[in-house]
Amino acid sequence: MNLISNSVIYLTLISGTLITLTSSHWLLMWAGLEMSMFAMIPILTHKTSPRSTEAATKYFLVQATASMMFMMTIIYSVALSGQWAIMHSQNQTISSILMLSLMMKLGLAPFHLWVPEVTQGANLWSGMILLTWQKIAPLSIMYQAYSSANQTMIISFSLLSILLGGWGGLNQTQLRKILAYSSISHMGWMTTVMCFNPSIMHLNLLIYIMLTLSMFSMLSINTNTTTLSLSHLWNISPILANTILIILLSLGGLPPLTGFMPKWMIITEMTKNQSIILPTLMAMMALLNLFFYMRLAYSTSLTLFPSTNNLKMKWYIQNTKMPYLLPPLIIVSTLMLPLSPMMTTLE
Amino acid sequence: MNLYISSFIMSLLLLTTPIPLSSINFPKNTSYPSYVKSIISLSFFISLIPTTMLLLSNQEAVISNWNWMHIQTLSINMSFKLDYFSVTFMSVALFVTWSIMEFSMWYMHSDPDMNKFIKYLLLFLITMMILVTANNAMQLFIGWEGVGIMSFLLIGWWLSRSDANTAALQAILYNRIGDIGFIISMVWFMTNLSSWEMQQLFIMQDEMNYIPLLGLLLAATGKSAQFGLHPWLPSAMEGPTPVSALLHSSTMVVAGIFLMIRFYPLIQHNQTILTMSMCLGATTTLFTALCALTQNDIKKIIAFSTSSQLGLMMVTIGINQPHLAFLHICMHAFFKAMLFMCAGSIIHNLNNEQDIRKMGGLFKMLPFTSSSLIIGSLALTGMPFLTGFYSKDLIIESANSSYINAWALLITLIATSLTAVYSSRIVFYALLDHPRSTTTLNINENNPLLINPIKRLAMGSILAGFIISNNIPPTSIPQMTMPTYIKLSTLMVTALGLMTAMELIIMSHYLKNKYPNKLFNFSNMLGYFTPTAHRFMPYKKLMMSQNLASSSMDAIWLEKSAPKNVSDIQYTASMFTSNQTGLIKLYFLSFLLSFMVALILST
Amino acid sequence: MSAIYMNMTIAFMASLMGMMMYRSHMMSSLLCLEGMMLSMFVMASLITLNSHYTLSYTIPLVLLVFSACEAAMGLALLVLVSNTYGSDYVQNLNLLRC
Repeated sequence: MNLISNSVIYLTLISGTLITLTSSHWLLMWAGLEMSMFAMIPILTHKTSPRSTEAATKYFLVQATASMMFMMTIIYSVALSGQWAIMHSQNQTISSILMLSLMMKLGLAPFHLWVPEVTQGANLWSGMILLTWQKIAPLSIMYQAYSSANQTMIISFSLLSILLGGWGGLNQTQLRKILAYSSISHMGWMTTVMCFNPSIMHLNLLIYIMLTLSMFSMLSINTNTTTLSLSHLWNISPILANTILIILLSLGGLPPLTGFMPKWMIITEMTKNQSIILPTLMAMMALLNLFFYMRLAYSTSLTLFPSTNNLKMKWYIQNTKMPYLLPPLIIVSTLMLPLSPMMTTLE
Repeated sequence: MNLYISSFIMSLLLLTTPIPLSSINFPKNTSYPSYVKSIISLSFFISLIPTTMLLLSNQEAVISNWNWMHIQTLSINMSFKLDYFSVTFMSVALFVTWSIMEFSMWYMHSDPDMNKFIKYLLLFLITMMILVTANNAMQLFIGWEGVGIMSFLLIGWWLSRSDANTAALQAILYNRIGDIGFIISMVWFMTNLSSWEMQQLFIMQDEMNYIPLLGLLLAATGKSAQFGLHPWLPSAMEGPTPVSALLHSSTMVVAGIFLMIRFYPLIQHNQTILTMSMCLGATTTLFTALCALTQNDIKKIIAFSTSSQLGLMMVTIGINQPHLAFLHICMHAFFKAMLFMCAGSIIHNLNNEQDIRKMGGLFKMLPFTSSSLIIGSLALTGMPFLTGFYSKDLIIESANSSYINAWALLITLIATSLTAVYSSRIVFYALLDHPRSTTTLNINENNPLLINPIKRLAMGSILAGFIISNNIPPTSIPQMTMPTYIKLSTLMVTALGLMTAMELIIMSHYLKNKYPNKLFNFSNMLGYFTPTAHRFMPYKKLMMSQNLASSSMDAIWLEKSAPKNVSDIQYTASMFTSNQTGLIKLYFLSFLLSFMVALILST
Repeated sequence: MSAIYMNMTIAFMASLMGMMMYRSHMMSSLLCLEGMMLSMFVMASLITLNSHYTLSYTIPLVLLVFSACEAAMGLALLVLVSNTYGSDYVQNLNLLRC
């Protein structure tokens, strides 16, 4: 693919999300979503293969249907209220359909089934975009529209996605699928806290994107896609193996690392709102995630996986990829917990 | 007056001098045991001065030496009480210990650590002295615990024998139960009366309630091996014979009775506690007398007779005659120490044989020991005008003539007659008839170290009762008039027991031994108390713990309910939720369904 | 709600149901998408015409433009799928199962 088409595609991707973020008009918002969806298809089919074709087709069908439903709710709300500006809708059915279509776009349970498959079909780079950049626009729309929807529905779907994300990830050995399930769980955390304090959702999204970015960029150095290939990482770069351990623990939300901060703040916020059972349930369900992160970390860096002698010579091959962005990403995604007093003042 | 206190302190201080001397370089030409023996005899003679003064002028004193610390209003002092009990007891104990020291020089002469043994005995005596002379509960407690620890070390002297170790552990564990009672009382005194001084406690006795008194009773039960906490006393026979002599005559086991005597102003107006101690004592005296009937170990028989006498002392406290109980302690010390020494002599001469069935005919071979043993046994049974008579007769008399639980009186009388039975049994089996021991034995009792102490104590067993009871000031009003049959009841029951025993033994001597019946087994197995308390209950407890641990903890909790179940649930759920077939139509159908459900539920 | 709105809503719902329940040809799914888009176009036009929003006259056209883009994208994927798999059956797309 040449430079011009590449730049057009990425420009469309970026501008689509930015249009959605900045618009105050329902149509523009929808148009931004559509644009980023259109741009995503060529990125997914970057290297044409049956898998990437299938992934792109599935992505297209799901996103297009969700967009149609989204647009339909817009038209109905315009018909009822008479204006295109984004306002809180009075009709709860319309708001609920809006929320459901956005959940479908976001890949929240029970609309999550496409996420692991599409991520698995795409390559690491496309998967990274799918799991990070593509989450921003739907979440920003939800952020603006959540207050008129049914809160119980949102929270129960969020809990369901935390649980299903954990359960799904238990059964996987493919790294991209594991990351997709982890993204489903994290989306659940974000949408839960959205009903209580939306600014914490922003923080959580930011930190989730940092963590996923660093995870994907570490995987893409050696194009690891399975646990087996990851467990041979110590032959190539022992430091990277250890860093993956720390990033995985941070993704699971263990205390001295950055990933603890959003979970901590979410639980604090919910307990402040007299909700005790909900954060307890969420924390216990997060243990499932922690379990498969730990399993990954165990086979990657805590044991020496049996390997043939040839594999042990891999360190000799010079690595040509130089991920300049990786060191700052690692630092941000592990050492940011001391900044949390400052983050809490941002509310 | 000055001589009274100073000689008392002197005899106490004298006792402590061998302790530091043992660690510094002792002169080679003097043997440490004989040095200790001389010190004790010296101390005894010095202690005769305050005793004589007490007997002459009946003066008592309290020495308050040194204030150790204050805990708010509670001050802890070092103070000594020089009353009738402590001064008399001190002389008696020193006299008995002097003999025991000399005896142990003979008995333990082949032991490599003899100096240490002697030092332990001395420490034991010192702690007993601390206990006896204490004027406050703290000091009493120090002596109390010291006696317990030293008894542990001495009973377990032959530490390579597992029996000795078990016996020592038993002793310390049962004593610990008693200590809990004492600590309860002390804590109650501290919190409610804010004092540990005896006089202050006695002044405030109106505020007493049951807790401290029951604590004291529990303490006495543990230390004096009353029924329930008694099994350690016969087991303590695993220690060397001098230890048994010291333990069962003048120290340790009488400490519990002494505690009750010491605190009698608190107890004497509480009828419930008095009745409790009387019933406890009566049960103890009968039970242990029954156990003594069928034992074959000579030391065990004597030990059980000690236990029975302790029960009798407890009964005496129960009928509110503490001075009489104290008199019995003093009398008992003489002949019981001598009985143990005679047993030691026999055991040593028969090459460590303790079974009375393998003795016999010793009257010819060990004439002096045998005569002393007979004197001691007669004194124990209360033969008139021997030492035991003067206290035992009075006890039975005052029990007969006071308002008393008829059951307890009956039990005590039965136990008294049983005393004669087991005493005559020893005499008969060990001394009379043909020798049943192995043939080649070097029997020799002509060692002054053996002869002298037994001789002294035999004199004591004959004369001490007369001397002491003629000289002590009258403490409780004796019954002046009583019917003849009551006066003679002690003698009658004793004579009855003696005659029954003689008859039985003569009648059954040439008969074939019958198989032991249930009653014999009951008595010989110490009333099945030890197997029940030491075997059955721990066994059941351990089995129950194991079953609970393995079945409930491992099988139910770990395997079925908590961790394994959680893991299984997650595994099943994970398999169930992630079995997608990759078909778009299924996604869309599930989307449609959840869409509908969400809409229906939310609107 | 007037009859024409009801009509268009039913058209949208029918297309949505077809999209979600239809299970053989991918072409039909794309046609269902177009049907949804067309019903929305008609509704948007009706709303703008009825309410006389002069500035909103372009909105149905914008919708149409995006629907054309979407159709083009869908058809491109259809071509790709039939090139790779030899047919446009949706149930062929099952390589990415777990």
